Amino acid sequence: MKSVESSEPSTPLVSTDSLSSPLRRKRKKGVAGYAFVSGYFVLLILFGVAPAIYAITLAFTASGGHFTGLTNFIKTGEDFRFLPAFENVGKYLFIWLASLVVIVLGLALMLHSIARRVSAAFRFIFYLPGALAGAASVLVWLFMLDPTVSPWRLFLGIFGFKNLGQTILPGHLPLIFAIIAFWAGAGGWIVVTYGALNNIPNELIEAAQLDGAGAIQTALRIKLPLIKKWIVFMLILAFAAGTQLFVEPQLVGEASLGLISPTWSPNELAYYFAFQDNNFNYAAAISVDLLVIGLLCAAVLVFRTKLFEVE
Amino acid sequence: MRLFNRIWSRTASYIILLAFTAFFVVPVIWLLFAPFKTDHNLVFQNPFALGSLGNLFHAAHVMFTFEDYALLNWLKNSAIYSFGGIVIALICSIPAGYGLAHTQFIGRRTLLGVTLFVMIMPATALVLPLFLEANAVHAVGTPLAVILPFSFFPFGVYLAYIFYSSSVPKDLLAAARIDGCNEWDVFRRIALPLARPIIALVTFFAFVANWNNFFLPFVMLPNSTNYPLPIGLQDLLSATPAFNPGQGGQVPIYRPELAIATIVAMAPVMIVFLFAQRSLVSGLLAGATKE
Amino acid sequence: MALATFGFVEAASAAKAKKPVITIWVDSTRVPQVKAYEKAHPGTKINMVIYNGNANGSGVLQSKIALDNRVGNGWPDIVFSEENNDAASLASSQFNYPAVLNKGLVSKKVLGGYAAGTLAGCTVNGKVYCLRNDLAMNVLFYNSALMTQFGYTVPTTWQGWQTLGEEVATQHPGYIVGSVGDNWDDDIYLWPSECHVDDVVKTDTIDINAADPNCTRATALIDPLIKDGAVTTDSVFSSTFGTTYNNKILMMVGPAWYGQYLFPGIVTKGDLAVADPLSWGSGATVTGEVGGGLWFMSSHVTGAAKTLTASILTWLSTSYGSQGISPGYPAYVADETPWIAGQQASGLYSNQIAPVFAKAATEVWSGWSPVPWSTDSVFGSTVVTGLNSGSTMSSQLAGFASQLADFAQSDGYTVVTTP
Repeated sequence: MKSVESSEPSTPLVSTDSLSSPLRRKRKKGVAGYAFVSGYFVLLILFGVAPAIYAITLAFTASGGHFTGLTNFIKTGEDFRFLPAFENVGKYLFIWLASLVVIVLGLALMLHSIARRVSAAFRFIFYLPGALAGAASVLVWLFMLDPTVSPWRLFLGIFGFKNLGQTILPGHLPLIFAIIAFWAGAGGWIVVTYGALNNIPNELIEAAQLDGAGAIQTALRIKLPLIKKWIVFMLILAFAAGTQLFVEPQLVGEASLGLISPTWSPNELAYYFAFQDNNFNYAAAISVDLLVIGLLCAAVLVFRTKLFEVE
Repeated sequence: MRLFNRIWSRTASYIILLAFTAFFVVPVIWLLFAPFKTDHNLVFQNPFALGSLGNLFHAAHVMFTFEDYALLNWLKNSAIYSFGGIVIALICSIPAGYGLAHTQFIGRRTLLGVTLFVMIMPATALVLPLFLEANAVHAVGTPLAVILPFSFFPFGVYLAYIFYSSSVPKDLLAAARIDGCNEWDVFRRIALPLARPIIALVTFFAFVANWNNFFLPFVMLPNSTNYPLPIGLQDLLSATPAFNPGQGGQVPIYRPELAIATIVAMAPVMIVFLFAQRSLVSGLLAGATKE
Repeated sequence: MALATFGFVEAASAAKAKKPVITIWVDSTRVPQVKAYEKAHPGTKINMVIYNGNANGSGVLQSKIALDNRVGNGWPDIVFSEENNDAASLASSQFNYPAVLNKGLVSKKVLGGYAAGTLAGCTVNGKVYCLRNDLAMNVLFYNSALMTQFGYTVPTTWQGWQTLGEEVATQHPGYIVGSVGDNWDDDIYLWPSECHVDDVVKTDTIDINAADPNCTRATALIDPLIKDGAVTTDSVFSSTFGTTYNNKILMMVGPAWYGQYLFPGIVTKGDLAVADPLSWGSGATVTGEVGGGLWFMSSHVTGAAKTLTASILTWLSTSYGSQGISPGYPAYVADETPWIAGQQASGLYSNQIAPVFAKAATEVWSGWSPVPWSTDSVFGSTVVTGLNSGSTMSSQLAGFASQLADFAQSDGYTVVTTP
């Protein structure tokens, strides 16, 4: 396949807001759309909507099945682990979102501006950690976080950590989990963002450069706005994934032979209620808490950026 | 001046890229070197010291023969579940993304909203109802109990939707419609070929999600012969003295052996990534320019 | 009628006479024990499922049982768990999983064949819910060569241990007499002191008292030693513990399995010796315990399968065919002697371990009860974490106890504090 750089388009390839084609007709509402989404629709109902409704119902009922209103929410809210878990995740989220957005966008932009082959090699390397499933990376992090054996020991030594226990003191955990989550997750988002950037027709970029825009200006004024939908999507999912932190506290807990509370994050607390206490109603209540938070963020972003609108 | 700016920004880019390369790759290099060392050396030698082939063979032998070649069994199961899920996911997600982007129907926006809703719902909460559903049709313990939920891939639908709505021009499709093509032909002859890169992307992400999924197989598969890699790895950890002191038993699984299992779990993902990258490298819209 | 001629009726009665398949869940370490059963009993059909043994508080067993309870089927018939708290957790009304064994399923003779007091870890409200696989009682390990070299006498009391520790700190810095860096160290230092933080005094009532003098005397003993360096805050399984303290461990209180799993390589072969658990000077000597596996039988097994399952359970826990190949110290007294002989023959120890282990097995204090939450986990995230940030053990007691109380109340227990 030829790269975009060598293309010779005669018509604009992307309908941006300022370039609308006279050929465009108002799209008629029809039934063809139903056919296209039918397969997915069935799966959505079976494995998405029905379980979600069941779970939400659980949050408002007790184990016998009778309706209990907000009792589960109040009871879980009063649990001694609830507030600490949300505080923990709040700190984590702040670091995680900031680093994800800034670094992923920054790296993707840089990759976009260098040669293709080299860029592909970097993308491969950035993605490598993402291939490690949660349990698989326990081993890796056991070594990375232990100053006595880690390849990063010089770096850890600067902070004065003498053993694994000192590295994972409670105050350090939000940052450590953010680093681990970023290490494993950034690669995937870099790939998606790079793909989106690659989409932008070269004339637009060349036009901007001819107008005298530097690299940063091109990035901020041309590239980023054109991939707005992708960025919003990434933000929504990253926010939700952040509030639902589960894997990283579990794996550092395993690596340290149990020095971290098993209910460090709200999602872990929900899991604990469901499976250690056999209380699925409490678990559902916490899940609904997390769902509502994620939806609020999604709603704000969707409506402000008109994610669902197509021309 | 502009040349200087370009050189400066190029150099700065490379420096930053290399710094992040170190961040991402150092643990992986460590992992790749680990099977070449003994457990003792892993702790006491330089992390980047080269070990010996002899250690590698020993560790590989211990790991592969563990529990009657359980590792190979986990690999096989993971492959079946992952590919089974991908095939159905692709068949359903790509047309759905296209339909959401380029056709108009009542409930289009609702569908987008509901999809996002379900994506944001914590998976912990969905585990029980999914299990109840599978149990109701006596599917618990069968591969289908895992493959079917795997084929529900809303992330793929969104990838396809965003791609189709921001990168495929309506003019192309409108022109085809004016020429008399019906909707299906428009999709099959124009939209689908254009989507090669997004198909690669969705395949890849679906594969990784299925390959690394722990929770769903954990709940649906009671028999250890059906375990995929993530569950097998968790059991492996508990058989390793380093992670479960005092309980380690008959077959000493030490950290070099664990490293091998980890690499075996990682390798297929990286291979699929390499294949998927080929479609990405050339850009998402290259095909269109030829029309 | 036509169906009968096609063999349908025969097939149906054959199905009824079909032998039950017993599903057994074990971790990979117990696989040989199940295989030994299969070899000794070729007629029985066993479906062996290998899982992680519920290790490290992962709650895998609880998850599965919770789901099975929801749908009313699918429970494993026999389960092995490495997690001590599972007796209380699985027997609770939330799970109702294990069958009660002391109401006829297992004979009184067998139940009486375990080392005295060891079934307490399986007993909740007078009902025995599991059989022990192995024991992990704490004894005093010491390096006999070092003791001779330095001219010390092995202490018999905790106070003597501390005095010796102080001497070591001044005369031989770099040598240690203990460690508090792992989340099970409460079982090593607080349990034998009869510290009341895990004492279920009656049904659903637990005694948790940080100010209990039994607790404070233990921490007060250890803190000066930590300050002087005679007790390390490193985890015994940390990467460098082995080299840092190679032949530098003068003595250490620890569970029986430290002998096989910790000391080889750190203590020269033939130098390791064991002594009776330390006492506090008054009253009977008691000790603590760190681990020991449990065998459960499902309460949902019915009919003929019930007797069969109970017999398999008993065999796995008590027969020499099973315990002889078990890596841990057998809980069943009859199996202890041959097992110990094997350990002694390994040349690791410089003295006779049999009398020490056998006596210590009967001395585990019963006032530290199995409960549905993990006391060790709380100890790790409060006390050990506090030690890692430089605090003293004594200062962490209040936080430790208050978190335990939170867990207890959250699980429906009433918390009392009796000194």
